[in-house]
Amino acid sequence: MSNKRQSMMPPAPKPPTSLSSSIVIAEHASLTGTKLIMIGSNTVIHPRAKLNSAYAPITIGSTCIISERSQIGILKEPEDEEEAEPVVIENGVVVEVGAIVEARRVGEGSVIEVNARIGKGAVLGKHCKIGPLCEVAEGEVLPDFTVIFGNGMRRIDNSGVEDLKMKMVARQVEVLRKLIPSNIAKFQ
Amino acid sequence: MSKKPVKGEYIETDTGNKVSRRSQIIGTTNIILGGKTVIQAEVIIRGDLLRTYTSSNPGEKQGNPVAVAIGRYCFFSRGCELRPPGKLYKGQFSHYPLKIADHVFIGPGSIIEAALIGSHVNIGANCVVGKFAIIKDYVRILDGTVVPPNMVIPSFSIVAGRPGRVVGEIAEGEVDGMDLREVYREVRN
Amino acid sequence: MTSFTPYTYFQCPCTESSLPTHRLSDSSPPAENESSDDERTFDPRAPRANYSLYPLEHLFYCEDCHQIRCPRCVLDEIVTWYCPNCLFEVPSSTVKAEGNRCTRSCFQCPICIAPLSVSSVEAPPSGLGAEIATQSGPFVLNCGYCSWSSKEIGIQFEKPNGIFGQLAKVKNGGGPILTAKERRKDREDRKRDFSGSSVSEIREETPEIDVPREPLDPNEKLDAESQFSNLRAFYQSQLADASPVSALGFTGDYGYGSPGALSRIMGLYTGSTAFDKKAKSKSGAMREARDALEGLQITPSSDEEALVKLHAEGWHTTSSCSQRAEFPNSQAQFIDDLRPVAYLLRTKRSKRCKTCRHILSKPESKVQTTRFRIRLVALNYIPSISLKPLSPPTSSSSSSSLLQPMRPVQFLLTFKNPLFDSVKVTLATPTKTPGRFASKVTVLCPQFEVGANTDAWEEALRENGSRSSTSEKRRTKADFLEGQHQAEAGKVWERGRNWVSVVVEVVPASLSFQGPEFLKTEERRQGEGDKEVREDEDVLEIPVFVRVEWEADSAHDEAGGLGASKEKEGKEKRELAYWCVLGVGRIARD
Repeated sequence: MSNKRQSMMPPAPKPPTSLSSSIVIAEHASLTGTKLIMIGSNTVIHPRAKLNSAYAPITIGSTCIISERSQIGILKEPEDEEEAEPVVIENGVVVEVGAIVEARRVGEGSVIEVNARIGKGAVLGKHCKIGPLCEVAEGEVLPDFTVIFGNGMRRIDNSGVEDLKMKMVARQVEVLRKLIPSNIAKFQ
Repeated sequence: MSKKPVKGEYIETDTGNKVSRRSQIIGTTNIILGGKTVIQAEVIIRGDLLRTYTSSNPGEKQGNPVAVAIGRYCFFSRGCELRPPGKLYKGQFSHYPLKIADHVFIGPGSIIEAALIGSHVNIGANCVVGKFAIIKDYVRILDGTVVPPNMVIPSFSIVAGRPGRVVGEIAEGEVDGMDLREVYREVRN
Repeated sequence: MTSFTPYTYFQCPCTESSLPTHRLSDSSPPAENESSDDERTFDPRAPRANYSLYPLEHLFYCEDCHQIRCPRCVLDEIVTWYCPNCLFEVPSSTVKAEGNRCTRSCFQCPICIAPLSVSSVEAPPSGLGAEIATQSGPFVLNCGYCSWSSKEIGIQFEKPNGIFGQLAKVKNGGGPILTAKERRKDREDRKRDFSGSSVSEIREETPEIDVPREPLDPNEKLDAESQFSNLRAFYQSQLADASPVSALGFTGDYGYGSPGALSRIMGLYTGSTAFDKKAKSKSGAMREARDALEGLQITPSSDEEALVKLHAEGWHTTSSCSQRAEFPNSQAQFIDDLRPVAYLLRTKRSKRCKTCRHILSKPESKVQTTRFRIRLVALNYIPSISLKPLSPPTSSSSSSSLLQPMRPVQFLLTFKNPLFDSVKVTLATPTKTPGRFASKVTVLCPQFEVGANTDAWEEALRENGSRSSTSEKRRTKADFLEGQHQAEAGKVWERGRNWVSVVVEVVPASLSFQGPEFLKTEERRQGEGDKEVREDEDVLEIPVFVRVEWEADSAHDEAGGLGASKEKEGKEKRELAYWCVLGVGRIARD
């Protein structure tokens, strides 16, 4: 089916990568671009996730989950060269289905929900949660524990269960490791 | 895409399912299709996200693992996704099966992580149905709704908003119109 | 511009069907608009029209009255109460006693209304045997949508079930709340205390100044529940004291029901009855509550406390209007005053005709079933109407979905008959649509018969047997494709087993105000000053008066006939007439 179609295309040049040997990366994930893509240990890249380093390098920390159809990296060519800031995703971040992340930094333990959008140059503090279909504007800076939900409503999460959540992500990674066949060789 | 359809858009199975050649179905062996279901292009079904939690109860049957079970006359529009939900239970993370009954319509671009969707459910375009949501029979979810995780939607509800809430009731006369047989028949290659 | 889907709405006759619209009844001379009774038009834009137009799916049909019934002319009766979250049925006695909220563990987030789920604060057990170990408390309520947790208002639970009961005993911050029983006991204790020390003070109406009683702080802050119960107890005792039962029939309760009490109350207003004196003498003995024990709560005269808090913690710690609305009895000004909201119960209801009390719809009482015992929906009794353009939009331009002013368009109206008898349909439309922009409407075939909704097999067999009808159908279609305007007046366009399509020709009005004089209606000339096209005024809506006649078997559906003397042998003639509104499309602005 569509995997056949992909192999018919002229092989896109592989971006330079630095991948930890313990990551899980599905065969149908896509890593494109020309700049460096770094992925830390125990991170899971679901099939159909797209990492594009055409305009800026991408760094993903350890124990992250990058879900299908999500797009990481600057999507559009920046107007001047210096503007393209690298995309950094810290440890334990979960990027859910269809989310678009162009942020400068996504803090540790943050969750970016289904079809959320993080604009270029935005900085998310630690343990933020961006709800489904919510948006963070370009260049916006969110303090730690910010929760965005509904139609752009915001609050600070004081529940203090971030350690628990980090542990849950680690458990989830362990399970996904069993379920998703990894093919690092294809991307190295 | 030089070698595109001399064949039709859909592959038709023995039980009358029409599955687009351009759908992205992962883990096919863990997916049950009841028959006469339409799966359009770019639909993702994550059959690979199996249940890994093993119940301590040894009496439980060890049949074929099922990640996604779909009934008859369902319609999955372009670009929607079915994904079994996952949670931490008794210290173990596991995915749990996503079950969909009959005559369920899912609009384009909607992402479904429900635990259960009943019969005659109509989900609009670009909706997000959160993890472990339970949607009972005869429910309509309007375009762009975000159904929060764990929400239970009782029968005959109309749901909209972010987060979704019940905004109305399905009228007695609307019940017949939620049958999808006609829709299925109109899908041609 | 958003896309437009054609629609048909039916008018329920419960709102005086032939009421002249306000525009026609304007002071304009009758000669002008030739208004006899027959010429009255239903104006879909009249402000009242909104309340009587429904999609066919929302209407019922009363078999006794032989009439359409809309949600406004039916009576609802509750069959079952249930919680929309746990789907447990709640007996009506419980609803009366406990209120219409779920008393199990179903709560909504006070911040975002998403459902809350119970989870343990402790890290889940891990390692060997983790799956056998039970989760240990304390537990909290968590929102999976906005991450709110009951920990934020200092509430934790010992058990993961029966949260409603547990929550009723905890204040925000963790302090205990007295239950109704404890409250009563407490009140009695206090009263005993109180009556000993200060009966004389009450009599003399002197303000109480800090009586040093430890547990009896008269300025104690009460929650809404205990305030209510204190107030109630206080006024009950007042009423009992003030009015001897014999005189006015008060029995300790409010007693407004008794005629004596009622006339006394009336006396208070008229001021000149024999009861006046009596009432006056009584009022001396009555007084208002004046401390917390009696249920008085003084709203702080200045919001200083709130101001300080607002100053220190900022705007985002205040609650929003909609959040406060969930707590009608408390001033939850700040987010940490909010509490989890127990789910409101939902109902399954049966519906009755208001006129004859006949049941129109009755669901099965069990929560989990979706079947109906009785379901008399209009859909099964009156022909449905669907609308589509006769020729598919040919031009690829974006404006093709809009109707071009002054250019005739043809639409196909399809009537589908749900009855097992064939029906005769007669259509009538005003030649010009009502409103400021009058479009011209012509139904090419206003009278036709629609076949019975017989078995589908019959149709299949018939179509196989005689191909003549289908070939005829094709011929008409072919005619149309060859020479454009072949829709003939007085002829049905297309016909099937239980459906018929007829053509309607429309000349959309121009939305500009400088149209040719002869096209202007009276109102338009009058409203010349108002040159804006109002919201949705560009939608072309056609009122159609539909009359359906058929012959039904009178025997089978007249079983419980309510004394209807129609028991004739065999067939009975039926007639139904109603207004419909066809939403055709938007007219392009020029």
